[in-house]
Amino acid sequence: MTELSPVPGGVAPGLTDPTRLRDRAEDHRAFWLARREAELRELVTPELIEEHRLDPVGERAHHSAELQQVLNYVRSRPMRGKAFVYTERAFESYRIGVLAGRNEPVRFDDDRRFASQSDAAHAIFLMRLADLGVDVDSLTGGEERL
Amino acid sequence: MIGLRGYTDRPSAAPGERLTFHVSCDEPGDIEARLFRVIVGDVNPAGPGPREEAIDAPVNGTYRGISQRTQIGGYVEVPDPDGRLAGGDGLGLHLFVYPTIPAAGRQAVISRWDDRDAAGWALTIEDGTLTFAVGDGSGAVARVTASKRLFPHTWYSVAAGYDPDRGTLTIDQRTVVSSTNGLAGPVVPLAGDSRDVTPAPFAPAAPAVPAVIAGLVEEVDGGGRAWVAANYNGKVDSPRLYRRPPADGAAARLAAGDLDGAGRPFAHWDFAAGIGRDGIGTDTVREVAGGLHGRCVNTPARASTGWNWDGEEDRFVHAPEQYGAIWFHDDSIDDSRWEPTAELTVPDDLRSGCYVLRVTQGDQRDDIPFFVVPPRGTATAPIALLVPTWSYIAYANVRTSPEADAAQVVFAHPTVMGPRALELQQRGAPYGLSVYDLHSDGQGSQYSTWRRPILNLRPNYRYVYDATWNFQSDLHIVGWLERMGFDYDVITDDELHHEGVAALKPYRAVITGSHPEYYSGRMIDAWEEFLAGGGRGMYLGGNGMYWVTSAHPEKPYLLEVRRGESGDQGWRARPGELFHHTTGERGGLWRHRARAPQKVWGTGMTSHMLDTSAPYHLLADAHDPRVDWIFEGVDRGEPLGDYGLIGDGAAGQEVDRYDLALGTPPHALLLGSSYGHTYYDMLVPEDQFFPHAGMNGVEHPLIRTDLVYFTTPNGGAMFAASSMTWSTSLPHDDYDNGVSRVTANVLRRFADEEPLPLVS
Repeated sequence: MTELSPVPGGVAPGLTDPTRLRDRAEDHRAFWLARREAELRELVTPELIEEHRLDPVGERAHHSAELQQVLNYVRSRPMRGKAFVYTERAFESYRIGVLAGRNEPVRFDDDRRFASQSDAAHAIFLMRLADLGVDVDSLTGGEERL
Repeated sequence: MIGLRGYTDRPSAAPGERLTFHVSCDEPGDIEARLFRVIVGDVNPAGPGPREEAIDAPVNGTYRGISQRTQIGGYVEVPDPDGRLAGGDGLGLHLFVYPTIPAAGRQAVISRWDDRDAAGWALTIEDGTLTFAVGDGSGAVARVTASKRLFPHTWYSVAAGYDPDRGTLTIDQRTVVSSTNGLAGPVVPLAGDSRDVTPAPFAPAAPAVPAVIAGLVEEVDGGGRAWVAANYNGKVDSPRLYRRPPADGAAARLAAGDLDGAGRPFAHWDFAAGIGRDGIGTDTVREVAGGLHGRCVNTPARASTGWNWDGEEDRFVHAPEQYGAIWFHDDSIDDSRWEPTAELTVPDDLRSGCYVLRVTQGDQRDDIPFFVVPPRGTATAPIALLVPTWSYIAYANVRTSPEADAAQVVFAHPTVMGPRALELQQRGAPYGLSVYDLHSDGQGSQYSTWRRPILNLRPNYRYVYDATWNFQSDLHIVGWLERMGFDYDVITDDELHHEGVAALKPYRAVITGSHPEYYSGRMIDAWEEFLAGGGRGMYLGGNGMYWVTSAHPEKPYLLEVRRGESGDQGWRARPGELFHHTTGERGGLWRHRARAPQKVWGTGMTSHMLDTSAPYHLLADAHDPRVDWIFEGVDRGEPLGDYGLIGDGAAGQEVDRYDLALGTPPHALLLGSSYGHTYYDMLVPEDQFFPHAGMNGVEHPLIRTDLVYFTTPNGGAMFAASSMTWSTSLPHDDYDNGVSRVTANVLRRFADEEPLPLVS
């Protein structure tokens, strides 16, 4: 075996293996997420949860600035592991699934059935708030089961 | 689970023409086929409900259903029946390689290899490392593996081969880095070069398989068809074959760009050979040394930037010598190539319309759509509905909603999927990608084909956020035409592109579908000629005439789209990739080629708004007595269209605006504009010069939907509703509503022979 591109005397070798390098943006992501999620947790109140429950898409009125921020965040999380609404029968029965990657099976760990897409969307919202570190039970008086 | 699915060989057919149906079922056995004319597909209980008519036709019957295999992945197949490329007497090869995901499993860069018995030779990437192997066919394989891993998105000059005199295998890789040809530039201290030699105690066998660039033969079936696996992701440029592996000095000369540096090759596939003014719209790959030509399978991206692209010229027809690369993907597909299951010669008395062949097997069912147009060159009614089949192809099997991290913010809804969407996401490989999706390696998908089961093109499909979209919304226009008693024909984008204005001329009035987004230059020409010649058009959609789109010259069922430098886009063409390989034309927005939709239809894309819709408010021009006829039966003091099946309004999903600066005709009347959009609705990127706060549907005045009317030469006229949800407001209150009335008033007048008087 001969190796080309000999290292000039005294100079550190160059990059030989991409698997030894990593994306340092991951460090920023962790840094950013910790701060941003702490800010968002402060925005979540019983009123905000109720606002979403009554109008998850904003059909009746503009969402409050706080709800917009929370929704923009949870909606833009990475797709892998993200909950979605599964239409068992359109306009009759919906449930919650969890996405994996392309050409991979999704998961159905949640056996609840919802009569409307909106009800399922709100249940997903509560799950996402819990993922954010919000104590949903205490904010909703335990009325909403995750 | 979805266990039955099919497609037709093309979107439309006229009486007397033959259409084939290609069906695959997971469980082989009899399938039943029945023809239906579809009128409404939407299952929303707030709407009119699905409507269809069973059709007695010779295609109805029982057929034998089989499970059909689909070849995915782009590659070049080079038939070699005489074994000229077998290399038993020695073989050298040189090529430039630009891997995009080298760590993604076994990928064959070039091979003449039969994987069943490991016979032949192959250059592969294994564990991120180049490997050259020879197999004697009895199970013995000798290989040499490069001692350095490949860096992604980096060009390598690769020399390899088998030397029978020395009994050795060689693999030699050298990075070729310029300021413009890859991700890393000269400042990166890459040390990725290596030359490795190992003993080879035997010569490669000569299996009866073709040579393959970007894959290897997994097996040859009983019908002689080679199935290709280990598909490669990335670019290949200028593969050449020699009798011996290039020696160290020759490999150095080749890597330095002296392509004669290893002497004369006996085979050389010049991927740029054939690039002309009209691009390179062919599957033929020329072998310029010995004539052993190859053929592209599944349409890899030709005319891609090569190892030597210097960034000075991005129109490849002007610098073909720098566009000698083909970019391959392991998930591309241009034709499922299934055996036909059934065929239909369209009966002479079958009326023009939207049809499905309903195939059933046990509790499995699929509705395979197609469109029947009137006999060629004739019209059977004064009105045509122009079905936007190119939008259907562009969106075919789109995966954005379950795959793009930003999708739920774009849609302002959670992802909603039914059984067909789940099938696409979980078992999607054979269903292929839309021009919204990303390939495995992250490159945008530039091609989309009709010839595969398009699961989201079904009359009752509910789109990614539980809405109708494209076809299902267009069927609301069909339902409305039927309910209002208009006589109409159905024609499609395919007629418009291939026949030009001749497809429109037989009609007095032509209605678009709800989302005629993908247009070729010929299609725009046809509209302009039609309208200038006194024709009347109704643009009952949004986001129309937006992306430059071309059809492959050899494969009219395959479209090419390059997302340009701006636009409402799922991906963006990388530097040097803006021009269509199939036609040589500049891709991107028509607006950036001086053909903004405003110039033809009066309005053009301004925002997508998928959360809620809004009504229009009529403005001063709506009170002009010369357009009283448009508003007959409508209270002009009230909002128009504050109802509908999508977002509760006639102005929604994707919407367009009047804009003189973009070419709305100067005499056009602005009849009304929507108001009441939301913070989730954003201004399109092409209108965001300096992005600033407030570019949303509440605060920004450009986010609106405009109702426009103007007259054209020779008594023609154009009416633009400019919204995708105009169609889904038509059925409100049993079709008795203002949107329906305005549409009917305009259509009735437009279908009348009497010229429209100039209104300015």
